[in-house]
Formats: sequence, structure tokens, C-alpha cells
Amino acid sequence: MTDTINNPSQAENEEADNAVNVLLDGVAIKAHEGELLIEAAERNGVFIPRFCYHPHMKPVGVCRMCLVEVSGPRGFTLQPACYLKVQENMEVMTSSHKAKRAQEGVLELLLVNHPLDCPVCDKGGECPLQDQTMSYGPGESRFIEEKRHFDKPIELGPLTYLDRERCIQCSRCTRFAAEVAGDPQIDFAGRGDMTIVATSPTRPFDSYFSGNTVQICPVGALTAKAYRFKSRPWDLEQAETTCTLCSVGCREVAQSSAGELVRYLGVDNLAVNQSWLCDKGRYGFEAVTNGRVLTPLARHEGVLEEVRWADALADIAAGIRSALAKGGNDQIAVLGGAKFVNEDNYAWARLAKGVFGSELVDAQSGDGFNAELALALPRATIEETVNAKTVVLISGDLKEELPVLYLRLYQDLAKGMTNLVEISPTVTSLSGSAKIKLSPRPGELFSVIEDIFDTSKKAVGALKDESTISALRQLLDVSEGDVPNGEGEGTVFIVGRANLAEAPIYIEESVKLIASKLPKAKFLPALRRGNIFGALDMGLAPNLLPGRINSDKGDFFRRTWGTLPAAPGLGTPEILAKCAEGEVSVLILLGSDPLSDFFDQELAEKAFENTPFIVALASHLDPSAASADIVLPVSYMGETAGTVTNLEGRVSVVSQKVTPPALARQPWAIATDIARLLEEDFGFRTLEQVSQEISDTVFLYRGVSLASFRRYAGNGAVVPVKAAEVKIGSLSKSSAIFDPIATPGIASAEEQGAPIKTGSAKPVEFEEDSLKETAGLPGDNSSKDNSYFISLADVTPNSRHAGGLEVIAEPKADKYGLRLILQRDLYDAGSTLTNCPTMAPLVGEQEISLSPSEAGNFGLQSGSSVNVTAKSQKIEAKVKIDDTLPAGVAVLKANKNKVRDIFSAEAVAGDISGRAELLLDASSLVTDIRLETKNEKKKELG
Amino acid sequence: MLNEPIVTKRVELDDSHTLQRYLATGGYEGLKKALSMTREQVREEVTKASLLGRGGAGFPAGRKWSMLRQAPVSYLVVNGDESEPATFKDHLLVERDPHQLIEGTVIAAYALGVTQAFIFIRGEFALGIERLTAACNEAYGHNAVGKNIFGSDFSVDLVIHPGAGAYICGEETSLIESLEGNRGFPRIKPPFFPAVTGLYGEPTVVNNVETMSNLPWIVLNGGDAFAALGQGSSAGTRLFALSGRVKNPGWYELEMSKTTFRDLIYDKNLGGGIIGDKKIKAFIPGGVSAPWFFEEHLDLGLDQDAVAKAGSMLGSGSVVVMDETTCPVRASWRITRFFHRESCGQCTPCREGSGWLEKIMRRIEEGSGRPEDLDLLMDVCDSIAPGVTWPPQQTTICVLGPSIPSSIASAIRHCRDEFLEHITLGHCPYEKDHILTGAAR
Amino acid sequence: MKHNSDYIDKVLERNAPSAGGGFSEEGLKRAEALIALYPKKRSALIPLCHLAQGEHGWITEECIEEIAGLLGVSPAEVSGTASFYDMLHLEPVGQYVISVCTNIACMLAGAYELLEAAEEKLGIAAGQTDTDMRFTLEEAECLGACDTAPCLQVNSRFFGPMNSASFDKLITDLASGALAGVVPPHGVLSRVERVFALTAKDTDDAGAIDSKEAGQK
Ligand SMILES: Cc1cc2nc3c(=O)[nH]c(=O)nc-3n(C[C@H](O)[C@H](O)[C@H](O)COP(=O)(O)O)c2cc1C
Ligand code: SF4
Ligand code: FES
Repeated sequence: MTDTINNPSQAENEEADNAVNVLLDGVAIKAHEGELLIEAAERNGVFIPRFCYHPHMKPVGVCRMCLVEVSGPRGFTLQPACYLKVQENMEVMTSSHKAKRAQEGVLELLLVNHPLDCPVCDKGGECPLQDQTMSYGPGESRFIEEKRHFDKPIELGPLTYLDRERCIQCSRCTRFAAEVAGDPQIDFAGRGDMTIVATSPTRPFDSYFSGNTVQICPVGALTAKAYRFKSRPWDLEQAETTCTLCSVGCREVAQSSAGELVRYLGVDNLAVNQSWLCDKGRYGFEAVTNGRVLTPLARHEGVLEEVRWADALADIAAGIRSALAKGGNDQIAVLGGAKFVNEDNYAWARLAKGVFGSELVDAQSGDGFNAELALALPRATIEETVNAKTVVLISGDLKEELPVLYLRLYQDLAKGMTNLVEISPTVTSLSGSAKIKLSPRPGELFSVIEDIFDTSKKAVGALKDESTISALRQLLDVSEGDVPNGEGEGTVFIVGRANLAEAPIYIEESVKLIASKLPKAKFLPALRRGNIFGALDMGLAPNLLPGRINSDKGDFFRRTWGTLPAAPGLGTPEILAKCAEGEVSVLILLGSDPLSDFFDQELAEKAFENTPFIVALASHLDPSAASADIVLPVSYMGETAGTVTNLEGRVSVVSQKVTPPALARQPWAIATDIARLLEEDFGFRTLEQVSQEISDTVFLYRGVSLASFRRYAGNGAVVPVKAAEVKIGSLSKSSAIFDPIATPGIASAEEQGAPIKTGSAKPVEFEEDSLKETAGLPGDNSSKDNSYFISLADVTPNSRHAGGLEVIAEPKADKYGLRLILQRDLYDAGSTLTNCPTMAPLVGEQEISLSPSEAGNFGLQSGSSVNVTAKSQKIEAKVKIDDTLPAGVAVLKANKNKVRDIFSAEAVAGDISGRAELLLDASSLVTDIRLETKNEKKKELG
Repeated sequence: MLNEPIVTKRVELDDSHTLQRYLATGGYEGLKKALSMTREQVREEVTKASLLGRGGAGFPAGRKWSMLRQAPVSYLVVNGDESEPATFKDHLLVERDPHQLIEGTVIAAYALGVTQAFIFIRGEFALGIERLTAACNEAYGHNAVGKNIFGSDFSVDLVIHPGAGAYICGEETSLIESLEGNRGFPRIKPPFFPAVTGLYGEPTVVNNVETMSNLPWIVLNGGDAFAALGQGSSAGTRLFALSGRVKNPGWYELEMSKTTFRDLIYDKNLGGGIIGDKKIKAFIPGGVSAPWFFEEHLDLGLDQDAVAKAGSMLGSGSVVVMDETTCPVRASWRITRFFHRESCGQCTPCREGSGWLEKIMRRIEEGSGRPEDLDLLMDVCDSIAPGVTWPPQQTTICVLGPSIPSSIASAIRHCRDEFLEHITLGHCPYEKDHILTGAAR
Repeated sequence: MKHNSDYIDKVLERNAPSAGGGFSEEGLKRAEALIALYPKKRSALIPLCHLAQGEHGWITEECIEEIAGLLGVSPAEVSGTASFYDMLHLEPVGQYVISVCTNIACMLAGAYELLEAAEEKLGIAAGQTDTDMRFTLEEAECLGACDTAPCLQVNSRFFGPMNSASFDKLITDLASGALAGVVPPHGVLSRVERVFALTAKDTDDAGAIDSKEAGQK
């Protein structure tokens, strides 16, 4: 390591008016006013050693590693560069004798009690303590006394070990827990040199974000169960990539050793995740080696057997041909795509819509809302969201659904610059930060939103207090009296499904109303699944073609693809209903698993029963794949390359790090092969060719291809790329050089692919030509004319509940029942978690949350078991009493299959004793349930 | 030596802690007088008095008060955490004259325009906490605290806050953290003064118990009368806590400057000389954080500036005497052990340095020292307090760090031979088998 | 000392450290009152730890959870903060915690000799508790009573100067209950409770003041 970094980028700040003149090691430099000395020095090419400082946490100045000599009223004194802000005419000496002596002293003292077990330490070889000792240390230790001792690695929580002897008390982990994650489950305990990191004696460290503490630990004190003793840093290879487990799309590196994935680390992408990851994203890679489909399988006499690719594909082609011959293009349905990259999805959209001519195509699983609406809304970026004046949350709990978006928002709200309004049926992890919180009951959402805009009303839903309502209206820019309507400028609405047991029309109508009343507001659609936005953008959605355009504007695609579907599109619930009626001959699953995921279990099962030919492209043998007629093995995270699109519309690169197992292939190639068997040549031989076709034909993605990301992957780019937006210079921090201590473990591994520049705000370098207008394509990236993209006016009206606003306003509650709120949590029984050895045990059991009064009515205690019934189905759940809930509602969690024990041979998939999906009916607006206790005591009518 | 004590005039009465006795001996008259004056006038008297803070740093109270940032909310916190080894004066004042402390606190609150005050009392002073709580109840009943005090329009609420055993909480920013319900981690500077940003981020004055206890007298008799005692900036009287190898250990309220260390230690009405009339080896002039003094310093006055000039500090006013039978290695080891146990643990140099130093010192005391250990000790001291000078420079957040080397450097510089004797003999020359119980084991 | 509340009388009756459990009903009321004294809730963390210790002799896991709930902090923050402080015990300690000061002034007066005698008398080493949870022996830092060196505390009440003979007598007296009026059960810091401003909001007492209002002027 060197202490001088090349290529400092000082261009931007030099002209700034608020520049401060600092003499740094005898060189005059300009710094920003209020900038920390350590950052100013870093931008100017001087690296000051540090441990406790982290670029994304508040400085505390405790490790004292960054002491430098600074001029002041009492002459030069030693000051911590990480805490001190630059001041006009400050003189700084970072390597004077005194500064070096202090740095040496601190390092010698840090090593006094630090065990010298580097050869068996996970951090050995990538350890900031080791590295900085080499660069700044005294050379040898004069400590001959006995070092302090603690119990050997202790299990701090289900995913994390702590070796207290190695801890250097930098407080990075405890500060992360309190300041960034907002869940201080760990804190310092004890005092002096017996200060330890500890949980309370009562609770483990089971934060969703625990892995970040391991990542930022500057020594080997915190280690991850999933990585312990797996590899040595010098054996690691890595590639920068994007997490595909939810639609936030965190940047990360995938690291492998001897061809096997061993670790993921967050990359300091300023626009998205700022180096943080959630534990599911970080440790989910374990599923890569468990439960995989290794070869094509075909059902013979009821049993899935290994077959050759050629035979499997020929069978599929035959099935499709006969379906097409039988009844035309609405005989073939294609579901899924959120687990695949854009290139896969484009190829499959082209196959489904351009070859099959089918409109039975949907990447969503009925758990989102109208794709046209989601894509038509004026979209906010994450950065715009956290910097918004007001954020309105009308969605599920972000911590459960989009964890790192929660982190970004939590930190921002803690600064107090943003107002949060929350409109969701239950208390979420952000409710504590909300200025105003409304809790509409299931079925009430739309009328509450209506009331907010109807200023003649003095009450909004459950909120009776007039001053709060007027504060709310003011926050939302709703004109009331003389207050002018700011049209929602500076407000970002995060919109999604807080309750899967409430029909999507509630949120859809609400969003439409908001967008029409506040034309300058922006939206962040909270659709959760991995690359769902990429799948929708590529046209795997009803009534949509690639590039967020309506099917009826698809002339261009008719010309290039040859054909386009005629019928209006259907969403997954309707498609499954059609399947259940036996009206579909071929059902193709693109990584989707309706038997686990779809919210109406009965319908999904019926659809499977009544569809003669089911093809599953699957990485894992999930329940749906296990019920298919043909299973095609596909590559999975770490094995796939391409691009993905996150919820902001940011396209970024997914890199392949390891080889897919056995015969697994990437889905775009499968689509290409099937097309060829149907006598259509897509002309795709390589992934790059698919990418190029997207860049050429999908003008929303014009210029955005793998080639354009070739030189520097970095932050990716939000589509449509406009010249002005390519530069992401507005991002506050401009540390343009690499801080190896911010994310230990990245600098030391061997790079593969684009260079990783953690912490860089450097924009993607697009090739000149790629941004030029392509002849024959409508629209123009450089102009503001986006009229070709779907607009709110184009959104196909919801046919199922058309004219149903009355119903929406007042759903009828069953007088003996409870109204169901079905929520998702991060650790559900999806194929990722159930195939991760270390995480599978975290998938909790089904719990039913009730208000204390409701629990009292039924004579239930916390922890007791209860039967929940609806639709003549019965499930079991454990009672949880939640005093934030109102009476009359109950909360269950989605996808709580009993987890299959991946180590024992016993497959328990299909044990559905706690599956809430059994209780739901896809055609209902809301769901009412009943409780059956042992003594059959029924709720009295109140 | 003193005509009339200022803060200890009641302490030897059996019922000195009761309201009845307090009122019978002129109690709360100072507060009444203060309330009849303007805030500015009260502050003026305190400034004139040259009342140096009695907590250790010796910062003039009047000046500190003038730095209080004007804000809608501000706080007064009285520091009664007294934990500097060999210091026991606040203990006396809290237990034996709690009303005087309350009166002083309310006067200060009035002068500062503060309506919420806290008295932070070291948890181990349980009896003091009981008496102060009882006195607080009485004072509320007497309308000396609370709403519209003595019919004026001034109100202040007073909370007695118990500490829980941590020396570092005496450091004012650590005390504030502790009062906020946190670990007692001193705050990093800047901001340099709680008067700008203190408790809950609001401007806060932190003053010592003895500092507060002087206020009723100052208000009643005037700042000038106080300044007439003592000399220069070291005005008034001060409570000195004398301990160690003297015949009469105890507290003595003495006029500052005018009395010398020799008087304090040898005067028959004061320390009464060394036990067994042995020779003095060394003495600590102001708590164990202070560098040691030796025979040649005996004639220095009990004067803040004079002591500072001679290379140490009057600190908390506690004087510990070591005689010729005292092993300097063992004494400085025990002091080092104290800092090691009490370091809060934030800063690497203090956290690790204190432990390392303690281990080396103990090894030498036990006879396993090496000649090179003396340089090593000084080197480690240098990593905590560059140059090991006085006043110290520091690599740490608070001054506990640079206090650690005080005793070690004093002992090595003045008693080097005794260190070497330990090393060559292979045991402590003073007592072959020192009892090594507890931590020493 | 006169005790001024039934609650204190009740707490003083405890004659052994309890095995576990949360706050008593009255204890919870005291807790709420303590919290109300401060402009910000978290400030009551240490007073609540003392309160828990007064009820149980140590800070039980149930109390950690309850304190966290009352103050809106995490249990790890409660236990982590408490563990910083020497007087707060997160594990059961004896009925009498004997803290022998060995710091400089006491050491010069024979504190280590006293500590050794204490270890011998009690049959435990410093830092240990005897098997019947009667006595815990600690080596303490300066207790602020150096004029009575060597000194010690029993449950934060002072005794000194001590020698091995007076130590033996102290143990006999503690065991016989002769010192019950002087030494309360471990954890009871103050046998006098604040009466004013605790319930300021619903009293018209001349001396009472609403602390919140006071905090904001
Ligand atoms: C390590 C350390 C311990 C301290 N302990 C005490 C103490 O026990 N009591 C005290 O009043 N001041 C103590 N102080 C000094 C306080 O920080 C502060 O200066 C003092 O309370 C201010 O009050 P004064 O101006 O009235 O002296 C200590 C300082 C340090 C650095
Ligand atoms: S110098 Fe020592 S006591 Fe002071 S803040 Fe640093 S570690 Fe804590
Ligand atoms: S003190 Fe500056 S990096 Fe730790």
C-alpha cells in the first residue's frame, strides 16, 4: 500500500466560493468549508492512516490513529484528522517527526493486546491493522507481558462470531448498529481495556444488517459464519456486480476461491448502497451450491428424470407448436423474469410476444400493482428520495422488503432534513421517524387519500385532529385555504403493497389520484423482486413492450420481431385463473414459483393441475419446478452475466464470477434455441449481441449496453440516459480515491473485469456513438420528448374492479371475523433462504399478530397456537400480541412454508401448515379470517 | 490560621445537615440577598471574588459563567463525582452541609438564568445522597428551591443525580454523557466548552461542589472580601485533603497562598508531621494526576500559579505524603493501576498504554524488571503525553490520558536508583514480601 | 435516618439478593416518577439501574428489558451502559458487598494487609462471592474517605479506619443483623426519596415545580 494516491480529482471544488485554503505538508490546497481534514487530505492525494473513521458514519476520533500536527492558537498540536474540520489558513503536517511518532505509538499500543494469530485469522492478508502496521508501525513489539484474554470466538448472533481478543475498540460496528441500521442490538460493555462488544444478556445480534459490521471491522474480531476459514485473501478472485435479491440493486463484489463463491462485500456506490448490504443479499450466495437443478429434467410416468438438452428443447418446441396450432397465441403463458437479467428477459419477451404472439406474459406474481402504472409514474431516484423535502410512504415495511433503501432513508431521517409521512396499516420500522402516521384499515386506503385531497373534509380517515390534518396537507402540498398548491414539488411517494390481502386496485387508484393532484411529485414504486423492473422494462408484462411503451405503440417491434400479440394482456392472477379453467396449453415459468409465491394457493394449485404442459426454467428445484413437466437448469447469482435495472430505473452490470454447475445455461440462450427450433433466428450468439440489440432497439435503453459499461461499471446509469444525468456529480461526497479501510477485503483480492473504485463518484463513460440518435427509432434521448414512453393517460384501466370505487371505500367486514393484513418479511421461505445453510434456520414460523383487545376477546395469550380459517381452509399460527395494532385486524406473513432441512434427506417442502396463501382468494378485494381456539370461543359481536 | 472558615463552619455540628440548624446559622440568607440583586450583580461579585473552580482545573467561575451561550434552554450541573484518589472534601460538604451546597447551586442558577439544575453525586457517597435528598426535600418545602423562590419570580428545579462508580465521570463532558444515560465517555473537542454545547446539546455550566458551596458566603460578604483572602488569582480559602504518612490526616480549610505545604504537613494544628517523625520522601500536591513534589517544594505556598510554575498542579487540593519508608515503585504502580482501571477505554493510547505501564511497573516491583524497562516506561508515557512535559501534551481525547505518566515520570526521574535497586535485587528493597493481594496477585 | 416512604421500607425488608424478576408494581411507579424528572428519558437510565438493584440486589434480565422499554432504548444499550459502572451489577452479588479501598492513601495505611485479612476471614478472594450469597468482596479504588484510611464500604456505607480485628467484628455484626439500621440491603442507595417535583403535575404544593416547564423556561 502507498500513502499517496494518484489521480486526485480536485477539479470540482477548486472553483467553489466556499473553498478554504489549507497548507498540507507544505503544499497549498483548497478544501470545502466544513470538510473533515482526513477527507480534504484524501482528495488531495494524502492518505492519513485511520481505523475508527468510516466515510459513511459520523466521526468519533477515538482510535487516535489519524493524529497529525495542526497549527492553532497554541502552536502545532496533535489533532485527529478524522474529526477536525478544515479552517482557513490551517497548516497541517501529516508526516512530521511528531506525527509519525504519534502514529507509531498508537500502532504499537494497538498491538499490545492484539493476538498475533494472523495465520489463522480470516482477516489476515486483508487486515487494515496488518497493513497499516507495515506502513506506519514501529517495526517490532516491545510488549513482553501477557495479553488479555477473553472467551474464544463467541456466537454473537445467528450469522456472526466475535473474537474479543482481536477487537481494537474502534466502535465501527456499534456505531453502524445504532447510527446506520437504527437497531443497536450490540453496544460496548465494560470499561477501559476490558471494553467489549456485546449484546444484551437477553437478545442475540440478529439484525438484518449484521454482515456490514463484519465487513467494516478493521481487524478479524467480527467474522461471518458463512465465510469463516473458507479462504485466504490471496486466494480470492473477485468481480464487481449487482445484487439481484431485491429491486434496490446494491453494488457488491462477488469473491470466489478455487471456483467457488465464498463471500460478498458491499461496494461503496454513492448513488445506491454506499457500501452497505442486507444479510440476505450478503449471505444468500450459499444457495448457489445447494438444491440446484443440475441437468434438464423431464417427467416420465410421473417422475422427473434427467434428459439431454436437445431432447428437452425439442419436446418444448413440439409442445409450443401444437399449442399454437390448437388455439392460437393465447394458449401459451409465460410467468416470471424477476430473477433473470435484462438480456434474458428481452430474449424471452421477444420469444413470447414476437414469436408465440402471446399476451399471457407477466413477470409479477400478483404481489405488485399494475405494471403500466408503475412504469408511467414520474420516477424518483434513491438520491432524490433521501434528499426530498417530504417522503410519503404508502407501502410495506421497507426494512422487510427493500432493506438497503430503508437504511438510506433511516439515516437521512435521523438528520431531520426530511419529513416522513407514513400511510400504512401497521407500524413499520420507519414509523418512529414519521412526522405523521396514518393507519388505514384494509380497504380504506383510497378513501383516506381521497379525503386528504378533499379539503372540505375536516377529518381524514381515522385522523380526527384538525391541526394534524392541516399539517399533513401542508406537508403534501395540498392547497387548503390560501395556501398555494406547490403541485408536490420536492415530494417523493414510495408506493407499494403494504397488504397482499388487499387488492392492488386500492394502491393503483390512490396513486393515480395523487399523480393527478400533485403533478410535480415523484414516485419510487416499491416493487420488491430482484430484477422486476428490468423484466417489466424488457416487456415481460401485460400490454407492454420493451422500453416502457404500450403494446399499441409497438409498430416498430412488429417490424423487427415479425409479430405482436393482438389480445389485451392479462396479469398473473388472471393468467392463473385461465390456466385453472384449462384454457392454457403451455405454461412457462421463468424462475417463478407460483406454488410458493402466489398469494392464492388454491388457484395456483388448480392452475398447475389443469395445465397440460408446464416448463420451468429453474435454478433450484422449488415446489413449482418439482411439479413441472420439463425443468431446464439455469444459471444463478454469481454465474450469470448481463445487466439489471433497479427500482430507480438504474441499469447496472451483473458479472459472472463462477461457472454454472453441470449443464445449467443462461435463459437468453434457451430462448434463442427455442426460437430457432420454431424457425426464428434471433441472431444471438453471445450475450453482448443481446445487449447490443437492446441498446439498438429499446430506445429507453439507448446507449446502455454491456459495452458502454465496459470501461467503468461504477454507479450504473438511470434510464433514459440524458447527457446531463450521466454525470453523477451532484452526489455530496466527492472522495474520488479509494479508501481501502472503508471496506477491507476489496483492495486485496484479485480483480476481474472492470476496476473497482470504491467510493468513486465517477460517472459511467459512455461511448460517444452510443448516445447518438439511431435512425428509424422514435424518441430522442437528448431531447426532453418522452412522449413515446407510457404515460399515466395510457394506463389500461383495471377491468376487474372497474367502477368499484364504492366498494373500495367501504368493504364489508364479516362481523365475526378479523380483516387480514398479509405482509412480507425479509426471511421468507423462498428458494434463496431455504437453500442457505446458515440462514435457513432464520425463516420464522407463521405468526398471527393481534391487538391486545382482540387477543383478549379470543382468550389468547402470546405464544399460544391458534387455527386461522378462511375459504374452508385452515392454517396454524402462533399468537403474537402487538399493542400497536387496532382491533378488528390480524397480521400474517407471506410465504411461511416450513423450511426444508437441506442437510437431511427429508424434503419437507409442501408442509404448508402455516401458509397464509391458503386463505386468500385472488378475486377478493379484502380477506376476512376467523380464529379457532381450542375452546372454540368465538369473538362476541361488539 | 483562619479567623472564620467559609465552607466548613457548620460541619462539625451533629445536626449540620438539617434545615433547622442551617437556618439557625444564617442559612439561605445569601440566596435571599442574591434574589434582591440583579443577575448581573451576582455574577459581578463572583468575578470579583476570583473564585477559581475547585474541581481540579482551577478555571475562574466568573469567567466560565460569562461564556454561557445565550439560548432558550440552558443547564447548571454541579460536579460532585469526587473520585480523584486522596480527595475527600466534596464528600464532607455533601454529607455535612448539604443545604449550603443547595443554596450555592440556587444562587448560581439565578445568576445564570438557569431553571433546571442537576447535582451529580458520586454513587458511593450513599449517605451524602440520602442527606442531600432530604435537604432537597426540606429546601423545596422551605421554598428555597422550586417555584417562585422566596416570593421572587425566579424558579428552578433541582435534581439529585446519583453516579454509579466511574472515576472518569468527574471529567465534565463524561459527566454530561453519564447524566444523559450513556457510558461515561468524555466528549471529543471541539466544542471546547459545555458552556457552548453541553447537556442535551444545550449550553451548560459545570461547577464543582466546593465551588458552589462558596457562593452563599461570597454573596453575603461580597466578592472583595473573598478576594482579600489569599493572594493574586488564588483567592479565598480552600479545602485541602491531607492523607498518607502524616500524623493527622484530614481536611483543612486554609487561606490560599498564605499557607505552605510545609505548614500543612508539619504544623501541629494541621498535619502534625510525619508518622514516627520519619523523613519525607515525596508528596503529591493535588491528586494523583499531579506530578509529585519533593522536599525542595515544601515551602511553596498553596497557590495555583506557584504550584503550576513548579511543574505540578494544585488540582483537587489533595495532598498525599510519602515518607522514607514508602517504596516509590509500589506507590506509582498503585497509581498507574488506578488509571488503568479507570480509563474509559475510548482512546488507544490511554486504554492500552495504562495497562501496559501497569504491567511493567508491577513486574519491576515484583523483582522481574529489566534495566531497559525504565526507557520503555518513558517511551510508553511519551506515546500518551508527547514529551512527558508539564503542562502535558496529549494524544488522547481527555486529560486522564496525560495524567497517567505523572507519577511514573516523577518516580523514575527522582527515584531512579530505587528502580534499579528493585531490578538488581530481584525484589522490593522496602519490604521483601509486600502483600500482593487483590489485583497485585 | 428516617425513611420517608412505604416503598423504601419494603425494599429495606429484602434480606437476600433475589434470583430474578422484573420491577415490582410500586417500583414501576417509582421508575415513571424518576423518568419524569429529566428533560430526556434516557437520563433516567442509571437511576433506574439503581432502582432495579435496590429491589433485587442486582440488575436482572427482566429489569434490563423493562428499563429498555421504559426509556425507548435497546436492551443492549441498557446492559452495555450499566456494565461501564462499577456499582452496577449484572450478575447476582452477595447480600453485603464489601469494598476495600487499596488506593494510594489507604495503601500507605495498610490497605493490602486489610484486604488480605478480609480474604482470610471470608474465605474468598477479592472479586468473589461466598457460596451462600452473603458476602461479596471487592478491591475498590479510592472511596473518598482517606482521612479514615484504610477504609472500606459495605453496601456503600463507610467504615474506617479498619484493621483485621475491627474487620472481624464488622462481619460478626453484619451477620447478626446488629448493623441493619446502618447498612441497608445491597443496591439501596438512598433511604430517603425525593418528594417534591416528582408528582409536580398533580400537586399544588408551594415548592413543587413542573420539571418539564422548568427545563424550557
Ligand atoms: C479525569 C478527570 C476527573 C475529574 N474529576 C472531577 C471530580 O471528581 N470532581 C470535579 O468537580 N471535577 C473533576 N474534574 C474536573 C472537571 O472536568 C471540571 O473541570 C470541573 O468539574 C469544573 O468545576 P469547577 O470549575 O468548579 O472546578 C475532573 C477532570 C478530569 C479530567
Ligand atoms: S484519555 Fe482515557 S479516559 Fe480520557 S477519553 Fe481517552 S480513553 Fe477515555
Ligand atoms: S481517531 Fe481518527 S480515524 Fe480513529
